[in-house]
Amino acid sequence: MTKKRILVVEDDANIRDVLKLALEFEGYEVFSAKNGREGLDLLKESNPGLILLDLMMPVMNGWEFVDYLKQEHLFQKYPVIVVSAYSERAKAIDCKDFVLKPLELEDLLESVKKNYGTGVT
Amino acid sequence: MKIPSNLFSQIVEKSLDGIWIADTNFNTTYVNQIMADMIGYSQEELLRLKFKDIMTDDDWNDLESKLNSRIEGVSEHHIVRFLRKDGSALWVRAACNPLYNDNGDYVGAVGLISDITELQKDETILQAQRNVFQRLVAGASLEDSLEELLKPVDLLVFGVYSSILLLDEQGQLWKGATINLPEEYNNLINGEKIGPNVGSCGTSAWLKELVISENIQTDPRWANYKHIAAKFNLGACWSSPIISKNGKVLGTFAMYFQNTRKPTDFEIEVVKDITAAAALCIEHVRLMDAEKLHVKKMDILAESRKLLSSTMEYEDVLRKIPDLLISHGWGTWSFISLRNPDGPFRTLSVAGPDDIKKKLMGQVMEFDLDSTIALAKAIKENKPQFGNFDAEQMLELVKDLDASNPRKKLVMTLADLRLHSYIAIPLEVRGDVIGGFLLSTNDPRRAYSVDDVEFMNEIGHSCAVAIDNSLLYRETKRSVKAREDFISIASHELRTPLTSLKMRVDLLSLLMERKKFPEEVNEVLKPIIMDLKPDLHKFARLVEILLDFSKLGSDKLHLRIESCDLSKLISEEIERLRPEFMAHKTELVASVQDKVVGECDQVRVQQIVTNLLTNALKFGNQKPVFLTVTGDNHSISITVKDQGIGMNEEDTKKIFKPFERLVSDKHFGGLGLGLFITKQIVDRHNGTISVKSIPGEGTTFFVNLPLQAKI
Repeated sequence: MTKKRILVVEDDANIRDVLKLALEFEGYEVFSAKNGREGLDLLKESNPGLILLDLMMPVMNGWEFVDYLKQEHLFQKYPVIVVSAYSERAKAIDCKDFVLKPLELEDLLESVKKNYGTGVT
Repeated sequence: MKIPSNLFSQIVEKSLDGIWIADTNFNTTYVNQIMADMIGYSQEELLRLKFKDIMTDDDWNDLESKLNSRIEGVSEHHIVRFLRKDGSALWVRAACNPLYNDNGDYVGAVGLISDITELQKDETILQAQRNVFQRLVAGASLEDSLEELLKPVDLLVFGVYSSILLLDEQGQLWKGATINLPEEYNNLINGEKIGPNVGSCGTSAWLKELVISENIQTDPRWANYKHIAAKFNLGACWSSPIISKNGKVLGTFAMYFQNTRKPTDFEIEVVKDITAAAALCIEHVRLMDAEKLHVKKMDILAESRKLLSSTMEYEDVLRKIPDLLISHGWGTWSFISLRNPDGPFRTLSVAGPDDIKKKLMGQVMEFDLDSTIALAKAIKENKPQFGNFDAEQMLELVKDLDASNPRKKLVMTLADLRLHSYIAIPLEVRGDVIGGFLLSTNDPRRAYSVDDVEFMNEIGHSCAVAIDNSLLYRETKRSVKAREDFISIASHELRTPLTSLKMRVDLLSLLMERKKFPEEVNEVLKPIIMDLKPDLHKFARLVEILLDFSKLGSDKLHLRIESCDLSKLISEEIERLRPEFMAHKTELVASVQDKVVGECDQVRVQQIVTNLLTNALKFGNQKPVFLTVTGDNHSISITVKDQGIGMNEEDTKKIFKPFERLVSDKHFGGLGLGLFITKQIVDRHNGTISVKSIPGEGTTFFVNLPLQAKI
C-alpha cells in the first residue's frame, strides 16, 4: 500500500500544520514547505503527485514558483491546486483548481479528492 | 388815441422799469431814476458815459450790432449785461424801440429795462448744477464735474477767480476744481490742514462759517500764506464752507479777486447759492461712493470667500489675497506672511505695482516678533494695527544697525515704498497667531479708517476660517486614513488565525464523524463542536465584512464578472442560510424564478442575498421573511420583505451609510456595515437598491441588477 504524495507550500505555520494533519488523516503522505524556495528544494525528494500552493509568500511567492516549474517544463508533471484569498490571481495561473481563502476544509479536501483521488491506492 | 403830452414826463419818471433813451449815435439822452439806481450811477453820470464804458468789450460788440437794427426800424427784446459802478454785473431785459420825429425821421431809440440779475443768477447756477450732474452721470470724476459749477461764476461776478476745495477725513483740503487760479497756486495750498488761521478756506472750513478777507495782506488769518497770495496777485478772498445736510463740512467754495475789495450783497448771494449747489453735488457723490464702496466690499468678501473655499490647500489661496485687495484698489502694496516652522515670519506673497520692488519685498520680508514693523506688532499683540507710516521714525530706530542687517534692510525697503497709511491684521487660528497680512497705500489722500480695519479684519477672519477648515480637513483625512489602515491590518491579521482555527474545528468534526474517538469522548465533544461552528462562522463573516469595508475605502473591491445562472446562485445561498433561520425559529418564504442568466460577480451577489436575509432575520421579529426573485431579459429583481420593527423615513435615508446602526447594539449586534457594503456591491454592478419601511410593520428592500454588467 503506497500513499499518494502531496506537497503543501504555505507560509502560515498554523494552516500548514492543519492541512498536513487533515491530509494525512485522509491517507496522503504530506510534505510541507514554508515558501516557494523550500518547495523547489523538496520537489525531487518528495516527488509529489499534487502541489497545494499558496500565492502570497516571502522569499519566493507562488507565481515565481509556478514560473520556475513552467520554465523547467515541470508544470505538466506536477499538478497544482492554488490556495489563495485572491481568486483572480489564482485563476490567472493555469492550475488544476483553486480553493479560496478563507479555507473551508471540506472544500479543500473535496478538490484534492476530485483532482487526485483518495489518499490510499 | 393819443396820450396827452403833459402826462409823458409822469409816465417816464414814475415807471417801475428803467427807461433809457439814446440818440442816433447811441449816446444817452435820457435815463430815469430807476435806471440810474439799477446800474449804480447817477443820471448825470450816465449822460456822459457811453454804452461801451459800462459793458465788457465782448458784450458791447455783441450789443452794438443788435442796436443797429433800430435804424432799420426794428423793435426787439435783448438780454444785456452791464457793469455796475461797483464792478458787479447787472443783467437786464431791454425792450428796444426806434424813435421818430413828427417828420418820420429816425432820431434814436428807447429801451424799457427790467433788472433780471437775480433770475439770471438762479438760472445760471441751476444750469451749472444740472451740468455737474450730467457729467457725473456720464462717469466723470467729482473733481471734473465740479468745474461745471465754477464755469458760470465769472458771468455773474466780473474778474473773479474761484475754487472748490474738498475736505478729507483727516481735515486736509484738496483741490476739487478751480477756475482762473494758477495751477502753481493750487499745488502750493493742496493738502493744507484746516485751522483757525489757514487763509480764507482753511479758516472757513474750520469755523464752519463764511470768511471774508477784504485785504489778504493785512488779514491775520492769511499771515502764513500771504506771500503765496502776493506771488499770484490775489488781493481779496471770500470763502464759505460747503456743509452737508447733517452739518458735516465737505469742503469750501471761494472767490478771489486781484484787488482788495468788499463783497457785494449779490456776490454773497452767489457764494451761498454755489455753496448749496456744491453741497448737493458732493453729498450725492459721497453717498454713491459709500454705496459703491459697500458693494465693492461685499464683492471682495464674496470673492475672497470663494477663493478660500476653492481648495483645501490654504497656502495657495492665501497667496492670492494680497492681489485681490490691490486689484480692487484697496491699496498700493499688500503682503501676507506666515510663521515658518523654525520661527521667523516669512512672506507668502506680495502684491504691488512695481515688479522689481515686489521681488525685493519678497526677499527682505522676513521678520521676528521683536521687529519694529506694524505687522510684527499686530501678530505679537494679536490685534489689528493701523495708522500712518512714519518712515523717518522707522529709519531712526535702525540707524545704528549695519547695512547688511536684515532688520535694517527690511525697514529701508519699506521706507522706499513711500507708504502713507497702513493696516496690519493678525491671522489667528485656534488661538494661535500663525501670520498676518498688511495692506498699505501710498496715496496721501487715502488714510485707512476704523471702517477699513473692520473690513480687513473680516477678510482676515475668513482667511483664518479657511485655514482652520483646511487644517481640520487634513487632520480628518489623516485620521480616516489611519482608521482605514487599522481596519485593513486588523481584518487581515484576524483572518489568518481564524482560518486555521476554523479548519481545526472542521477537522475535529470530521474526525468525530469518522468516529475516530471513543464513543464517550464523542458524546462530550459533539455539542461543543456543534456550538463552536456557528460562532466561528459568524466571526468569519464579521472579519470578511471588515475586509470588504477596507477594500471599499481604498477602492480595492474589484468584481469578478462571470456569466452564470443567478437563480441557481441565489437558491444555493438561501439553502445555506436556512439553518440559521431555523435556529431563530423564523420562516423563510422564498420564490425564485427559474433560470435567470446573466453576468455578475457570483460571490458578491450571494453576499447581497446573505446581507439582506440576515438583516431581515435580525430585525424581523421572528415573523416570516419573504424573498422574491424575478427576472426578464435585462435585469433581475430581488425583493426581501420582513414584518419586523421597521423604521421611519428619516432612518431609511441613513441605512446605506457606513457605521449607521439605527437600534442599540445591545439587542442587535453587527458592525453597521452590512447594508453599506450591499449598496456598494449593487452600485458596482450598476444596479439599484431601495428600501420601503413602516415602523412596526416591517421593511422591504428592492434590488435590481442589470444582467449585462457594464463595468
